Formats: sequence, structure tokens, C-alpha cells
Amino acid sequence: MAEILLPTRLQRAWALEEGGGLETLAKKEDLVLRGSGVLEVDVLSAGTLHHIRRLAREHGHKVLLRAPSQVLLDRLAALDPGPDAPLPVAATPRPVLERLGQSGWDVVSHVAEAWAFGVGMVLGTWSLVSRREHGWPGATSRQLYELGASGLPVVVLLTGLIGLTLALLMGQQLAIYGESIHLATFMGISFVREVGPMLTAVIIAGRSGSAITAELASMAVQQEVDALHTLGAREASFLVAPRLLALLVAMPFLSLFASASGIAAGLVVAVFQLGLSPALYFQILVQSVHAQDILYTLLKSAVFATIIVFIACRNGLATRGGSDSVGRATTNTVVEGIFWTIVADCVFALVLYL
Amino acid sequence: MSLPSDDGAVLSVGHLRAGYGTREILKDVSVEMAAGEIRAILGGSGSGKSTFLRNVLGLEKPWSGEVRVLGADLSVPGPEADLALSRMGVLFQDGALVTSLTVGQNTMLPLVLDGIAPKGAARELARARLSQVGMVDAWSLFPAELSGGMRKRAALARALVREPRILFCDEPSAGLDPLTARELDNLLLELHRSLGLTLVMVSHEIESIKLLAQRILYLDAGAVLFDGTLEDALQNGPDRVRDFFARRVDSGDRLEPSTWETIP
Repeated sequence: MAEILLPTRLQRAWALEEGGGLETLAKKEDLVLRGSGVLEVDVLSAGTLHHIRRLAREHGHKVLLRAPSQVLLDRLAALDPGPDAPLPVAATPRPVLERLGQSGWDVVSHVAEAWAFGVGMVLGTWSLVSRREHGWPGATSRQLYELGASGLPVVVLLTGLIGLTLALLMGQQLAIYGESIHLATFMGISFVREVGPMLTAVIIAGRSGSAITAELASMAVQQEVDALHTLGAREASFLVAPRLLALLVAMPFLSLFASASGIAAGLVVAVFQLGLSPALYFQILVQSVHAQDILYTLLKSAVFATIIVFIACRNGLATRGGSDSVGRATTNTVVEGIFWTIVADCVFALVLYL
Repeated sequence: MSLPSDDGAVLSVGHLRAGYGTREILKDVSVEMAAGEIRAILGGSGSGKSTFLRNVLGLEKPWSGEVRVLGADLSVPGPEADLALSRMGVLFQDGALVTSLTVGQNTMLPLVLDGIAPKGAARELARARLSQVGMVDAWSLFPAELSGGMRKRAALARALVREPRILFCDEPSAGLDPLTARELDNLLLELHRSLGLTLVMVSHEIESIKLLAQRILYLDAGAVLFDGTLEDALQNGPDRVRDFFARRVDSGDRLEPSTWETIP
């Protein structure tokens, strides 16, 4: 048994300097603390004393106070941590098999839920178009402007810059083989079929997809979606449909503008670096790009638009909790949106080119 | 089309069990509310008040039991639920106005959803409700430009625009200063008198309840602890209910203090 004299003032410095030593002692033997002269106990010291007593008890020892001053007793009582029952611990992880089963079930219910949402989206859009349900007048044109038209500058600028880069690179390679003339073929086919719609989809998934999710998620969090339910509005026709219709119209146009911008950048390179005449560039371009290529682009863009709106609306409307979940939902939309449009693009390529 | 209970019980809940995930919140709640009454649903936090309201409004699907508002089950979409929805109004805690629409547009929204264009008659009706709650000057302001009390009043106008028979309020005075809260209470009372509105309010604001409620439903740990008139609750209610009104803090769960062994 060790006996220790407590100083007159138990302050932060005492707790930090002596606390550790007392802990070691308390694990080994019974402790007697002489506290008759204690005039001041700060919050950290009181905590330290309680901690030492709990440690001692866990190791089968005791901590006794010898003739404690009233100040010491009062302070210990004021900062009492309660009975010695252990604090509740976090739930232990469940067995592997159970977790596997749970995640399997999660996947199934996730797919079923996504399917139901997709069906609801189609039916809701149909209800709005056929005027069986009513939305806010002009909601679709507002979305058309916000999701489509206002994204045009960034889409055109970025595809133009990428077009310029690719054209410079390809122009050099083609010049080596004396085939500079086929820069028009390369730029035409790659931008109309692939780069235009794909790059547009990536930009729109980031720009408009995140905007949709952020708006719908904050509406869900602030009970606006609940309120709409109680007014008799269905989220599929009131919130999702205008966004789907807007992007279905906007995306094909954006893709065409994107392709045109890339091809125009190719023209700049053809004229100024390779010394071709604009007329020749267009002649070769018209020969290599066919009408079905453009139709294919339009179709692909419409599919991309559907994927982006589906993901963005689902993530937004499924948001629960506080404002931190709004940010998480938005991030998910951007990642999933880009991922699934690239997957869809690959499927298109496999079907068409194989 | 008319609803099964156009006269009689406006709200009937039978053996309602509900919760989230695997956590059961409501355990067998049954209650009937008659037309024209003002009913306060109260209880401590976690007692299941909000879950009760969400299930009644059809925002959650009950685990079991039956919920009917004006004779319709709101969690089953269809013409019957739509009709019941068109005859009720809900005032959410923070108003839940649609952020992208102005106050005027928000107030016209229920009519627009019924297929009425947001001009002409819809505009007049919205204006009438907004002046009733003293908000007509805020017609072209967006919800973000309003104070908490103004948002609630605008939301009340929106809830009333279809002339509902029953109005649900979730914590009408939460987050308001005492003066604004009393104003809102008086407004609700006036509407109850002038329109014969049935009022169902979830609240833990004692002042509001004493001023408004005729009957109370006290929920405790997901079950009905008391269902009866306010006077009855104050005189003969269970201790917990009387303690609630007397603002006595429940101290049953306080931890035993630890004792230090002392030696001379």
C-alpha cells in the first residue's frame, strides 16, 4: 500500500505530471491519498482521480481518501461519472455468413428498388406529357435552360480544346505518311460517333447531374418532398419528369454542338498547320460522315441523358438525414453518372462495331 | 366521388404498429378523432409523435394496423387517397415551401396540382389565404427571403388554399419566438372557429396545447398513455401526463453516484 500526499492546489499541471505515475501505482497496489489540505481541484484533476479509482478497482485494488477536505469531496461529487458499470460498447460485427447474406439481399433489394424507380420515372413522365397529372407550368423549359442551354458554352469550349489537341497530334502522324488529307476523316468519325456524345455526357453528368441531385436532396432533407406528397403530387411526374424531358431534348443538341466544335478545331489545324484548303476538308468530311452516324449519336445521347437523370434523381430523392448527406449524394451522382455512361458507351460500341 | 366517411370519424387509427428498419417505434396505437375537434398529440422526444404523424399522412407504410384519414388509406396511391389528400392540409415544421417557387406560387401550388392554371381564380384564392395569414405583401418573395415565422404563415396559407376539412400541424410553434408562436396559435384557433376545421397538432409546447387543444393523445414509448379531454388529463391523468403539464422533469433514470471510501 502506497500513501501519497495530494498538493494544496490540484491543477492541470498536477494532473498531467503526476497522473501517469498514480495510474501505474493504482494497477499494482492499494492507494491512500491524503487530501486534508486540498483547497482547489480543477476539472482535469477531478477526472484524473476518478480515472485512477476506476483503474484500481479493475485491477482488484482500492483507492482510499485519508481525511479529505470538504473541497475535495465536493468537487469529486460534482464531477461524478456515475456507477462503475462499463460504458456500452459498439455492436460487435456479425458473423461472416450473416453479413454475406445481408449484402446479397441488399443487392437484390437495391436492384428491385432501382427497377421500380425506373418504371415510376417512365410512367410519371408519361402522366405529365399526357396531362393526366399536372406539373408546375414552365417547369420543363426552366430545366431545359438550366440543365441544357446554360451548359452549352462549357461543352463547346472543352470539346473544342480536346479537338485541337487531338488534331495537332493526329495531323503530325498523318503528315509522316503523306495522308494529311485524312485528318478530316479522323476528326469527323471520332467526334461525331464517340468524342462528342461521350465528352458531353461526362460534362453533363458532372455539371447537371450534380445540380439535380443537390437540389432534390436538399428538398428531401427539408421535407419539401414530403409536403409535395401530402399535396397529392407524385415525385416522378412533378420533379423527375421535367428534368428527364429537358435533358432528353438538350443532350442530343449538346452532342451535335460538341461534335461540330471538335471538327471546327480540326479545321483550324488542317488549314494553319497542314496547309489544306477548307473546301477540301469539308469535302472529305462529308464523304466520311454518314447520316446514320449522326442518328446514332442522337440516340446515344438520349440514352446517356436518361441514365444521368435516373441516377441524379434517385440519389437526390433517396437522401435522408442532414446537410452532410446532400454532399455525399451529389458526389455519388457524379461518380455513378460518369461510370454508367462510359459502360453504356462501351455496350453501344460492342453492339455496333463487332 | 365521395369518401366512405364524409361524416363521422375524420381520422381513425387501429392497432398501428410502425418503425424504421428493425426498430419498432409505435406499438399498437389506436385512436379515433371526430370532425371539428382540436386534438394535440404529445409526448417526450422519442415517444413516437413524428412517426405517428408520418404514418397517418401516408409518408411511411405501417408495419401492421389500419390508418384512415377521411376514410382513405393514404399510403395506397389511388383516386381515394387523392380525394382525401385534396381535403386535408399539412403544416410542416419548417413550412417545407418549395424553394424554387415564390410565396404566391407556393400558395397556388395545391390548385395547380389539381389542374388549375396559376392565374385567374387560383391567384384570387391564394391571395385570399395569404391575406388571412397577413402575408399578401410577400407574394413575390422566395422562401429563402422569409423569416421562420413568415415561412410558417405562408405554408399555412398553402395548406388552407383548397379549404381542407382537416389540418395537420407538426410542431406549429417550434423555432418561433413566444410572441410569434402565440400569434400563430390564435390564427389556428380563429380558422378552427370560422371554417369548422378539424385540427390535429403534434406539439410539446405547453402554452399552445393549453390554449388550443380540446382533447389530447399522450404517447409514451410508442403506446397511448392517455386519450381524453384536456381537463380530464389535468385532473385525473396519469402522473406522467400531469407532470408534463406541471413541467416537472422526470428524474427516474438518474444514475446512482459513486461513493469514495474515506478513512480518518
